[in-house]
Amino acid sequence: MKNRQSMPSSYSGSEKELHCDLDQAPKLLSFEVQPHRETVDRHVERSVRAIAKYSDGTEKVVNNLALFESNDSAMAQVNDRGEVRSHDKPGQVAIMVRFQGKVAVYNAAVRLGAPLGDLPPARNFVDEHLFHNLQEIGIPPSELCDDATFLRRVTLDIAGRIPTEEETRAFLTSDLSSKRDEVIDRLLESTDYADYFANKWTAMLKNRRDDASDLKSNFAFHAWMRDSLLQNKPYDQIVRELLAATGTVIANPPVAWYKRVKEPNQQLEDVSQLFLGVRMQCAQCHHHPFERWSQDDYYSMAAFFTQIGRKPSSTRGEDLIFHKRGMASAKNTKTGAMLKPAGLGEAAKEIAPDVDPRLRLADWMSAKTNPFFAKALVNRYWKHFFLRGLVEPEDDIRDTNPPSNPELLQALETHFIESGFDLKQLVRTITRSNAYQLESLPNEHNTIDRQNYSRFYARRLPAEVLLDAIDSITGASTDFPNLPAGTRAIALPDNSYNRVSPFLKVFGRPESESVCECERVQSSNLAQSLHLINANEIKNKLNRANGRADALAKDSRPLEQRIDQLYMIAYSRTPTVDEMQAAKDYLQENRVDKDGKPIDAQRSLQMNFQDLIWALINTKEFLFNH
Amino acid sequence: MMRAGSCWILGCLVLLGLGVIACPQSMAQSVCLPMPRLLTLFPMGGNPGNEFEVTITGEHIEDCERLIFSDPGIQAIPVVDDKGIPIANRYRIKIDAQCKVGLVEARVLTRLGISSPRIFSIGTLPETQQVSPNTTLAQSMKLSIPVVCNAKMTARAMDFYSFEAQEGTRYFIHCDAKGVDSKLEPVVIVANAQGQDVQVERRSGFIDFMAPKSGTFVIKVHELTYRGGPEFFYRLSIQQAEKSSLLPVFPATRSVSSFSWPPQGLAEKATLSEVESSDGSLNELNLTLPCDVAGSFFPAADVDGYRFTAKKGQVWWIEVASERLGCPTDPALLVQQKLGEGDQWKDLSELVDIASPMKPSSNGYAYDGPPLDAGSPDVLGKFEAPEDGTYRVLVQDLFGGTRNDPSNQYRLVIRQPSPDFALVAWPMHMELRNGDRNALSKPLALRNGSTMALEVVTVRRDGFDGEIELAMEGLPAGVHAHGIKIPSGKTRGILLVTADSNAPRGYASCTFVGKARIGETIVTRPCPMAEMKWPVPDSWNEIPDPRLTADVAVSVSGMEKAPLTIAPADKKVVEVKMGEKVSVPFALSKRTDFSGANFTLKWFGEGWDKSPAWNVNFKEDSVSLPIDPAAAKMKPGEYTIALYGGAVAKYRYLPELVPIMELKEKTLAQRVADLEAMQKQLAEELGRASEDRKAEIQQKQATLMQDLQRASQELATSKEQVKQAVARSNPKDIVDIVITEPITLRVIEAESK
Repeated sequence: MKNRQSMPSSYSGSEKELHCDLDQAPKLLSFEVQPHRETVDRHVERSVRAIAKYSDGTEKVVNNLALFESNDSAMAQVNDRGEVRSHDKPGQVAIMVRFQGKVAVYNAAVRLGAPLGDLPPARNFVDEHLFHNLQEIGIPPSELCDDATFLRRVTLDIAGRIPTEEETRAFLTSDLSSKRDEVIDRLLESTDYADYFANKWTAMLKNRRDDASDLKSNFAFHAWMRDSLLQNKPYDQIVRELLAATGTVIANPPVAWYKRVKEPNQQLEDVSQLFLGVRMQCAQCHHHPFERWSQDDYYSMAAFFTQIGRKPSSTRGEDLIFHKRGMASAKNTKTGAMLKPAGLGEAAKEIAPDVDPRLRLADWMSAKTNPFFAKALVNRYWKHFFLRGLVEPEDDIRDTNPPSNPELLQALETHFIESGFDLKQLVRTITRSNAYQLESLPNEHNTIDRQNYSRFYARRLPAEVLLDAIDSITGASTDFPNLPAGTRAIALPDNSYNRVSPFLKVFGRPESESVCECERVQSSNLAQSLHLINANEIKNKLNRANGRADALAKDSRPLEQRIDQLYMIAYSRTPTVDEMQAAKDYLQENRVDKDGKPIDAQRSLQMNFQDLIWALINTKEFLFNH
Repeated sequence: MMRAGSCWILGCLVLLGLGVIACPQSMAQSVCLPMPRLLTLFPMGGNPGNEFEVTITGEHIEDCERLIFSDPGIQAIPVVDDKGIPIANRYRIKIDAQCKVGLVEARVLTRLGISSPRIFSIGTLPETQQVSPNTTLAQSMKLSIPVVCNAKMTARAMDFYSFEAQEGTRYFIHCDAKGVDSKLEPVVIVANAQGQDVQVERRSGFIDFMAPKSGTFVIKVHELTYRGGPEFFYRLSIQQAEKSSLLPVFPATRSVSSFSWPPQGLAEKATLSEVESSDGSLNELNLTLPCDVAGSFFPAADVDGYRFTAKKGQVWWIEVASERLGCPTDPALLVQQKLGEGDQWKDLSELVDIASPMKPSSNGYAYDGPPLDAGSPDVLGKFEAPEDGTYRVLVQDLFGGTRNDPSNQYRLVIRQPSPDFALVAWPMHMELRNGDRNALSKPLALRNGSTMALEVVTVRRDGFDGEIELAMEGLPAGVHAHGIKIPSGKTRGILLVTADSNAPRGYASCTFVGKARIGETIVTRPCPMAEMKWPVPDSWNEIPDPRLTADVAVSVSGMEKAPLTIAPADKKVVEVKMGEKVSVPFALSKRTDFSGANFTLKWFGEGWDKSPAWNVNFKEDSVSLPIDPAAAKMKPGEYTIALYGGAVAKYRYLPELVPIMELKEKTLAQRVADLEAMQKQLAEELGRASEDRKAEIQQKQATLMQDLQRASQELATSKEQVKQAVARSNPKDIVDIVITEPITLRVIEAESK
């Protein structure tokens, strides 16, 4: 490949003349791509123009010198002349164009153009923006899901558990038109919500057990996050308490974060990625080619963390954190310049030596005008409920990675800020939308859709949720060391329990080593299948004395009622006629032992119930949130 | 004071009345000889005028003779069975109606002497006790308000309570734990009747609860990490409060660092109060020095300014207390000078922590310093005005950036130099074996012929630099204290407490003081003792938690002697001239075997601690200590010196108990044999008896069988007790500190030639 980043002209003469010519050469002022945004059909070609604007007022089309790159080649490809060809897959695609250190983006909405029919009514701005996008690109959404599906879905997503039998029966028999909204409110008020989201946040905040002495700080940190969520502390306040934490872990648990993340570089990188959705790692050494962040930006952010004082505490490996008086600054290791603290894209400001610069960082982050803070959070939460972020990956928000629905992202951001960074309100808004309540089964047109949310994207239950669900259906809770009997996996305070539960490890519970949600393994693998099919952990649960199978076998109710109960717990629905018949037939089968001798009827029934529960667990309907 | 030599028989009786002797946990450890430690009392408090029963547990207290309280208004007598024999570990407490509300300390007096203390609360709220199990919502224990419930945390569980609340009524809910010696890190949750959390508190144990509606509310209590057991006790109180009530202050034990507060003569309340600006901006209070101001680090990131004028050369001492008041704060203070007419200020000095007088433990591989930090994050420092002008101090909490807690109070004192000192002491420990991480509570329970060392440290105020003499008064008979003074400019001294080999059994609450010449005056300051709340055998796994004790309790066993006594051959003052050497004879009294052929001793004594270690052979009965003042670079003067080191004794725990227990076993065995013989006799009698007597004989047989079963059971228990007593009396290697009895050494100026 030829060097496309070389100067447009050739030069001759001495080096001195060359320098002289370079000094006088027009400077590249800006760079853009035209058109910037448009809607196109599938299987069409478009040409975009890369335009460079120079200091002498001239403009040049530099397609022959610019670099073009598509962010989804299944949707559209681009060649080195800037000719874009859309393919079969509909949706939003971005073509990144680079020229002499500058970047511009062409966004295309690739239209499917299918007949839309009647769209579900818009319940809030989420629906308005999402359905508008579907209209624009012509992807008809799936139907709204039924009550049973909704209850299971929303309970899993908000409370991290499957609904109880009692909850399901009450919900399905209710005639209230507002019952879906009410169940959302009830779930948000429950401790399950706080447990589930604390589990999510503390993993990303590296609440990791490396040593036995971490026990108290990990419990305290987890509890702080859980309590904050339970009382619906505003998100900006939670982040402020974390960023500017001082004192001891017991008196102020967010201090524990500074036990895990010790260096200013680590601190700025984690904070940027987690709370701003900006990955700054590359900018430590060079100006990222796809981004606008320079080393100065990197070290200006690092400067916020340079006045953190530490004193040893009586707990091994644990420091007291305090604000060390002085002027905050960080050295750009490349230029040697001492840089004052500055938020991304902001000018440096003087921070008095008495003021903890981290408080100013928190001020900047939580300002209504901050372009990153609220956006990163709503995108992260959108992904929690919709499987895919409006910007994907969710913590890599940049000009060259545009959102699939910018208007929706903007509206969510505005809504979140105006609500006072109210996390529960954000969840309420998202889950009340009809967009969230679409069926997961595709219609004849939207199977191909992977980014426009025209249907609910089914996902495997996370490790902890799945283990709790299996505990529920088998009636056999997992015993975690030194925790109260009945402690659920989503309420575990740190990663140390992964060591005692092979299930959690196999199903990808994170070890809290990364700020990225991607550390959680959500993919499926053979080990998971084998574990569900044949692991002693599962067998023991099925065979637990006084467990579900045992209890159902001893139950005197008609078989139909017992089968119905199992389906209610597993799927939040009643069995179909065929399912009921198949289950009854199986349960009534007589069993023989390995020598061919008949097993007594009661034991036989218990074993058959074990098999039935085992079969239910091993269905996609159980394993997936759909 | 205790009557000497009393009540060992009582102890034996208690033992004989006891079912199975609990094997003390610390018998497994190989560092430090057994010490009596009172670990728990239940219930942990009561009301003035009340009388009730308490149960105690502890280490090496199985021969407990008395339960003693630091307030003489509380009396305890043993609970006895129907035969009048004391029941082990149970006492009936009577609290005088005039007894002051607050915290007192309980100790037990045992064969080995006085135990470590445990807090006992005197309060006014009605007392009750936990009804177990109460670990589920359905088992919630109903509480009537007001109440304080004495409870022990259930491990791996939550304890549930319920109470009826009235809408709009305010309730103070408090789980008292850390402040009364418990190991519990309490989490207190107010939940609705369905058990759903409404309000959670994980730091202070205190919830200020306004009932949103009338009805049943649930209180859940658990340990932060779900630990539990008898050592995780708590007192849960609920009381109704007026809406305008200030937040209550609950009595709590004092941290070690608080020994240096308040300065001598400070008024109980400050004369000035901080005034907070309404908009959060820096609000400065104009002061005239000296001053005494009360303030709070509130709201978050609060900075309080105090402006004053000073003349060139004026010296002021500035002290801030906050952490020493019990707040989780780290005060810092900046002194600035005003420049010109505008609002320009120049930094002069930044005053931060009060340094620990002695390097505390680094919590590393092995003991490398005391696991107590006598320093404080509070502020103590000097300001000297460089010129006439306006100055200000800015006070802030380095931990306060995000915390909005008005209860984080401080007291700022700016005073003219008032040289003074404060003292605190604790029983000395040292690395006794490789990887020794023991942080044991060590009551001053002296075995006869033993010497214990107390490390004494000082915080010096306002430029005081003189030497500090140490003394302990009011000791039991036959017990002597020798202070090794804190030298001028230094912060550490030693006090040695020695019990004579023939000292009578005794106990006393003593006075421990430091004396120093300040100017023309000899001032005396108290020296409180610090002690571990719990014996921690491995500080790697459990963070030692020390506190100040209420008194200085000293006892001498009178029943058990030290394994080894190293005492000077005579008590006279040893004189040596500069340039000459002297050998001081010491006698070794060994009462058991020791591991190894010899051991080395290091020096205590102002300036002598650099002298070469002294090697002592266990085989010798008398040894000589070579002293060379010139080699030690000592000056003429009078010194108290002693030597100390670790020695591994083949220690036998309570061997005297074995024959007593064996005698009991023998008696019971005889009783069983007699009953069996009688049974045999009755069987024969029955075979010969006429029909009309058979019923009578069979009745006798039945009664006899019951007696035999009971006696056989007692015999089995007795055999087990003998087995345990024998096992514990078997020699076991235990390393402990051996300290010589001190000598007085007078170094005399060499005669001029």
